[in-house]
Amino acid sequence: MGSILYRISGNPTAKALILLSPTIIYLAVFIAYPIVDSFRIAFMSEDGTITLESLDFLLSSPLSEFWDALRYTFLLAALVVPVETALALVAVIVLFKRFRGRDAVVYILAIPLALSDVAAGLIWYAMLTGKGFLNKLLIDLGLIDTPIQFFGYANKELTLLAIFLAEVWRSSAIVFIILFAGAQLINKEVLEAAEVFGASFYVRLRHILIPMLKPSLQAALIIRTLFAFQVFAVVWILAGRDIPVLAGEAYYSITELHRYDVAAVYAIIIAVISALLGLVYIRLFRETLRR
Amino acid sequence: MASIMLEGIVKRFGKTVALRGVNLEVRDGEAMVLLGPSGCGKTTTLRIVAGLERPDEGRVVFGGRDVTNLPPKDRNVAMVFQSYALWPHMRVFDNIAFPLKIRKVESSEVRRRVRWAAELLEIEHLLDRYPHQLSGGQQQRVAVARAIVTEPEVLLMDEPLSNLDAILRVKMRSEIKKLQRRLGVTMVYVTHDQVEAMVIGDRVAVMNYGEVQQVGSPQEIYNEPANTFVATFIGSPQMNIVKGVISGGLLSLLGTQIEGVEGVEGEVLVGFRPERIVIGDGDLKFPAIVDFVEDLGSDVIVHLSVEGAGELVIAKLRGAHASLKPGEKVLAGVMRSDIHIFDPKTGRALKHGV
Repeated sequence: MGSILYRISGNPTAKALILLSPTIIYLAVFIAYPIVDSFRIAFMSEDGTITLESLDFLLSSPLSEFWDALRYTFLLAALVVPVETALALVAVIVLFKRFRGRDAVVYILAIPLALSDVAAGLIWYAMLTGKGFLNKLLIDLGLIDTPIQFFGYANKELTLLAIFLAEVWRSSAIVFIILFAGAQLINKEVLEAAEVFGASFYVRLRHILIPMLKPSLQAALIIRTLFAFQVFAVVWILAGRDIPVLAGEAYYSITELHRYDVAAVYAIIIAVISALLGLVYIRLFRETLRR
Repeated sequence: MASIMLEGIVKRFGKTVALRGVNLEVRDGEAMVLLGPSGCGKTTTLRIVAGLERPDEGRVVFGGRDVTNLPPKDRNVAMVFQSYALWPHMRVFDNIAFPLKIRKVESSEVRRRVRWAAELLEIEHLLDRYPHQLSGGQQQRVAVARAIVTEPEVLLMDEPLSNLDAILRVKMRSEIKKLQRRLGVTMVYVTHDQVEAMVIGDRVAVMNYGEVQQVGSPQEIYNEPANTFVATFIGSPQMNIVKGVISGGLLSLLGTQIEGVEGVEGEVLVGFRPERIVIGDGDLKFPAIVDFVEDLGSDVIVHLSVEGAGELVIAKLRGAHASLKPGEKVLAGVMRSDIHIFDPKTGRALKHGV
């Protein structure tokens, strides 16, 4: 390898290509090929002709919950991402100054990061079910007489609330860790300077700390928004198809309907939404990225 | 403008005691330098003046107003930090303007004042840049401009020059001194560099172990150090301190003697500065052998071992003595007025000049 690089050192383009080749090969095999192949699965019939039958099924079959899935996926993303970002930001602000026990609090806040989303869904199911911890507590405290039913088709709003809580709990941790890491890089003197020059706590947050956290906030938002559109396991455990989401419908199409073509269309739709949102974020953040 | 009084300031961080009763008065319009080795408590003292730390005991008084428990924003102080602590997401203009905007100063007045501060520090051409686009020296000027823009009563500086290269440091230290004179602001300046302290301070407070060891003008601190710590911390190379005995006015040291040393009896420590040693002259002369010669061009540092006494003495001589060779015998001498006597137990100065 060294000798090849040495020989072509006069040609920067060739050198760059060689150095990038592992990445290019990786992207080709694990990203480009599956995307191309999913289009083939979605829109090519067995005899090799192009067909839109899968799309037709998705949009008009009584078995399809596409529009609801789209609506709920967007709704969940729109609820979960801002709330968890705000919560994580509050935690970072509270934990900005060193105090006794701070490290312990950081570790505890990071615990959900280590749990699989299935486990997270099960924990919240166990907690919120009719005989679960929450209902027992409320009954023992005398606040309610009969358990609150979070689950079942008749309780869609409460099921949605349960999913929202579980998702916020599960994924606030990653946002927190990203923001906390970003905050560690901020020189404490920068905030002390603002304090000496007369800035109140609010002004220091609004004009110093949060603007300086902007790169971390952007990274966390991009990661979380994209992942929010892949929401699946927590929803599947807590709601099944009572609350349909895009990734859940893809899974259902394969396992129950054996419609690989429909599942592929769902995959493509999720990919397209992710790509578009990625573009929007990059546009929005371009100014700071340049700096 | 305001005077600053620190009365019996004690500060503990957990089990360590950072300050053990600091008393210090900074006069209105004075430049006071806190000088000491790292860990001596000088930065903690400055942060207590700023209001960034609260003392566990003692009072902080600004011009008769007790500010001990007031947050920084109610003290009308400004500070230049060691890291400059410029806000990286703001342009230079906004960095300097920020303290004014917090005080709700009208925008035309903000522009006028930022321009004034920028002109004083010769950074008008940098106002549209971001801090990361500036050199260290330029960032330093912005930090100073930001600190003076509100015309604070008290200007605090925490080792502001320690991140600059040597040439810039020499230039900036005299500029800071001139600026402080011109504005007439009360300044507290922290440094571990004694030359910087001497250049900038109207008076210097030498600190060690969380206490003020001595406060005085640079001349006082150099000529009449209060104890062996100040004596050896100030001056380079550091003051020679050797053992001696005084008996009936006769001081014996380095295998020789000098008469007429009144007022002190018994074992003492005797100090004299390397730069006050002369070859072949002086009231107190002692024979020595040259161990080692460091030629600095303008001066030579000569390490002398004193025969019989087992003591090492450092002499700083004029460059003309560069021809001295190791092993050579010389007669070194000191004037009576350059000899300091210290208590061997407490280290306290007993006599300056014998």
